[in-house]
Amino acid sequence: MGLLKQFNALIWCWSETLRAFRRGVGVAPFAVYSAVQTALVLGIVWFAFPPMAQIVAPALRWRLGEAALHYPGNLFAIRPMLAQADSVLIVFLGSLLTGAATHMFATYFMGRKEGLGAGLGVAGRRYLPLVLVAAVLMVVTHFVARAPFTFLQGLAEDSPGLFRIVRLGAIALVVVVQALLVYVVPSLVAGGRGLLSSVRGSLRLAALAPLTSVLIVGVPAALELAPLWLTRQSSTIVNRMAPEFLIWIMVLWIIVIFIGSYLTTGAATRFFLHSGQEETVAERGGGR
Amino acid sequence: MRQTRIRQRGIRVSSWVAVVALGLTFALSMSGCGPGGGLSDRYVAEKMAWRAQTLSRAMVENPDMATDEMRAALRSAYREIVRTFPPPADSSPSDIELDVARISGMSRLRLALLMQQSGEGDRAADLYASVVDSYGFSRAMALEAATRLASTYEVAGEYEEAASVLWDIAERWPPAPARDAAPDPRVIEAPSRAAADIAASGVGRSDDALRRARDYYRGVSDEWSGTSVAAAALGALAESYELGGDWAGAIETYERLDREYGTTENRASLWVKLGDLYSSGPGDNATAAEYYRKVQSTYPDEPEGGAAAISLARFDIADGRYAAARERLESVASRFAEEEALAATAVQHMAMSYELEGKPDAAIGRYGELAASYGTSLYGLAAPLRVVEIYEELGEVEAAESALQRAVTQYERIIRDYSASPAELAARNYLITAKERQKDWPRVAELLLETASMSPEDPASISMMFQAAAIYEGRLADAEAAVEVLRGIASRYEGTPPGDEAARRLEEME
Repeated sequence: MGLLKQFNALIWCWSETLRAFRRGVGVAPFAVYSAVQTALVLGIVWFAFPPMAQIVAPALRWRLGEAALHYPGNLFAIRPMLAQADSVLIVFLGSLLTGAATHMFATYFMGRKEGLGAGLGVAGRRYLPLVLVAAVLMVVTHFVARAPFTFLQGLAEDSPGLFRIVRLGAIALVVVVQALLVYVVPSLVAGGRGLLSSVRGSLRLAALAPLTSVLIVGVPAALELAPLWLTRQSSTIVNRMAPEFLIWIMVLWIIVIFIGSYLTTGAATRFFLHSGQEETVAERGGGR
Repeated sequence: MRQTRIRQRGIRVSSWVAVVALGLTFALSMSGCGPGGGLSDRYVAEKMAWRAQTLSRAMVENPDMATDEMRAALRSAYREIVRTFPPPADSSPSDIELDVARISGMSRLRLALLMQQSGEGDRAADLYASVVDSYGFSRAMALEAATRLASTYEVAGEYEEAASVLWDIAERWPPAPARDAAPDPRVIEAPSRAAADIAASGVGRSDDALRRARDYYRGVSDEWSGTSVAAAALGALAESYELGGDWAGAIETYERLDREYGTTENRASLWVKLGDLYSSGPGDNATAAEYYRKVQSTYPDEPEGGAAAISLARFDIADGRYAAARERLESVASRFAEEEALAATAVQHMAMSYELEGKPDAAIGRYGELAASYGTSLYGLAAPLRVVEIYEELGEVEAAESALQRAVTQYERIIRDYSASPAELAARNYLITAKERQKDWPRVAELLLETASMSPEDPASISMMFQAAAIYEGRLADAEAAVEVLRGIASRYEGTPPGDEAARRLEEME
């Protein structure tokens, strides 16, 4: 595909996704995920009070030590705790909800509208491959994102400029890997294919439209930079304003993750269906 | 049909998820409404303390913004912590209870300090006493509270009570938390302070108090033998001998300190101290000079080496060996040019040696150097007026007047360039003297009032205001201005002796 055509396709996919959003399509799965994240944040904020004191407090001590059980240490702990919990949640819950959302998008783009229950039913039957894909993506993302800190610690001290370039390169690599596999879930859920066939199909489609694929993943990911930058200023925010601002930054982050996931899943499903690889959801009875 | 079922099921599941999410959020919010066990108490206490500290930090960082309103808010924040978290009932609290107790105890200390600053010494003392009584499990807090309680009594002039608290400190707490720890000055200094307070009270027998303090230090030096605590106790014992004018006791103790605990870090100052004691006590200048020479040869590059050289030069000056003295002093001034106090003292002694030798021109030259190079030092500030005195002694009236004008210019420059520093205050006092010599009475009165307004609670400032009133009345025949100043004193210090004195004078004038 030519660059202009890829760009046009991207804009069209996004506008279709926004149209779906206006009709409330696929919102529920991401809302559930955001609710779980919000509950986690609130649990950490109120870790000292029952019943959280019995559940969250031991977890905080286990993962981040005694300092996280003091004010405002617990508020500083929200981000690392949420990041750690997310690693598990994305694989086991996120994969299921993304699958459900993909089905809801697919049926909508095919002219019908189905709810969360139907989505969960379809995704539940594909749970194992969905979990596998999410786990692989999670491992690759963690490895590539952490590699500069693990293997190039000396470089960070000797040449901070070069280290920054390496880190940006690692982020770019994560985006490329995610772009290569972004159509696996639509192919599994909406295309009804097997795992290996879906991976092959995703790689083929990403190779056919690399700009569209990278931007489908990259633009929503870039939205996360704003809350990420804010969390890096945590100490300044706590000292100059109030520790409670950290909660609002995390709420902002959850909203951004909601928007980003929605855009990525919707646009990837739309592009997958558009690329002609769909085997009509309607023909297969909603993918079942 | 099938699609409809799916849609209905989807709606049902969506509703169910929404209900669960809402319920969870509600449960979470409800569960955070009130403090629960120890963890929640600590969390609430930490949150309250954080808010108070944020306010306190803002006031320290921006003193201009430290309004009465902010001070009241800070006080209220600490009072709220004190009210919410009473002292722990258990004498051996758990770790979490200990954390809460630390916060509540520190808040009591801070609230007491705020009360003290706003003149509520009695209430502050009560609060300090409550910390001493109820937070005994924490040496840091109870000892700090006891020390501040003693200071509060001292400030209020209740010296006997202060001495009693200080003796409690010495008897209740060991002078260091552990044998290998550094001595705690709050405990080590307590007996000496108690003895000084008894002397100040004029009620008890200060000799007995001093003897008791010495017994304490002797006991500590034996019990803690071989530690830095014993060294500190010996130092305090020696100082108590000095205080009582017992030179032999002081010398013997400092020599023991040198023998048993002397190190390369403290030996230089110990030897200088021994030299000073031999010289000023029994007048044994030969032994004193031995000590000074030892310091000079062992620690030539240390400030103590310079101080010893100046002391030796003093002996030379006293014996009329001016050239030898100046040679030593020149060496100190050049080697310790960066140590302002030391270099200024050396130049001052050079100037004095010229004066004693009958060479006033050379002395004036040195005083000029002192004023130019070390203008804000103790000797540098005095130098311009000393030049005026020398010219007056020589009968050179015009030169004296010219030197006086130069002195005025110098002091005005220091006041301008070193605003809000101790040098400014000293320069103001010298400027007042210089202006008195010039008989510039309007400016003298103005300077007196300006200087007094810088620290209105200082007794010296009150005296300055009375002086200004006297100048307006006597020298300038401006009764109206004098009345205005006296009225200011009477209203500001109403109900106190200075206020009464001002009111009496006003009555006399009217």
